[in-house]
Amino acid sequence: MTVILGIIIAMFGVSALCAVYRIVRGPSLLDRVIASDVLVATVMCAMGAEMAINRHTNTLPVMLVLAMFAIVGSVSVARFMSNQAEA
Amino acid sequence: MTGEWWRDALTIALVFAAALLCLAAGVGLLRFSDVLARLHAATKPQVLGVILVVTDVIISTPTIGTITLGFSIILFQALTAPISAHMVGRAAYRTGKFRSDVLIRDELRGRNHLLGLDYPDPEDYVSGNTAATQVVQEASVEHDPVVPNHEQTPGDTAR
Repeated sequence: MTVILGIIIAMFGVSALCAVYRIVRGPSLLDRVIASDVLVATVMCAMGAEMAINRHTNTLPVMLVLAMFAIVGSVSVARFMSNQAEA
Repeated sequence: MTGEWWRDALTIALVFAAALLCLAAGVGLLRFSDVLARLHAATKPQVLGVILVVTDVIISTPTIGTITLGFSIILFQALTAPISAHMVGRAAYRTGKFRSDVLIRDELRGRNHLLGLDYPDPEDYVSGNTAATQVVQEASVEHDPVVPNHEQTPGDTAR
């Protein structure tokens, strides 16, 4: 059981590191937006996995707030990108 | 972990599936070539991974508050993730941040004037069918509900 939990933690960590790499190296602004969305989704999945494994519900409101407001950043950047062809 | 083996096995299975989706999204972000392909990889764990882990939290503590909060999380995530993906994909298309050589089908090619863009497609340079002349043709045939698309030859659009 402990081995499988370690594998799960490593998978979440590798996913977050890939997203951070794409945020740092992304050739365009939209790549960085997509990578930050993936980072938010990974954080949400990791918090939910921690709740599911430790059998508590303390961080469900945090997940709700992230689900409601993760849209704001990507939509505003996408609208900003539509107005100008460069950058 | 509670000690009941079937309960722990269900938790491990759901959380492992969610972690696999997150890992696939991260690897897809690294490996794929342009914005639209990365968008395809990125939108997998946003809805399905969250549904998996929230389902396990709901199963472990099935109270009214947990069920309501869990369904709210799934509802808002399923509501907002497609909107943001659509906006990012549209911005990528309009600014040309995609590889048109790997697209199998591009239904918006030749319709830049419908998108509010003022530069023609590369194919239209060859045929002389620029965005300005297409706008004029659109205005002249406005009573016709059929919008001329790129599959017609340039001679057909005069009508």
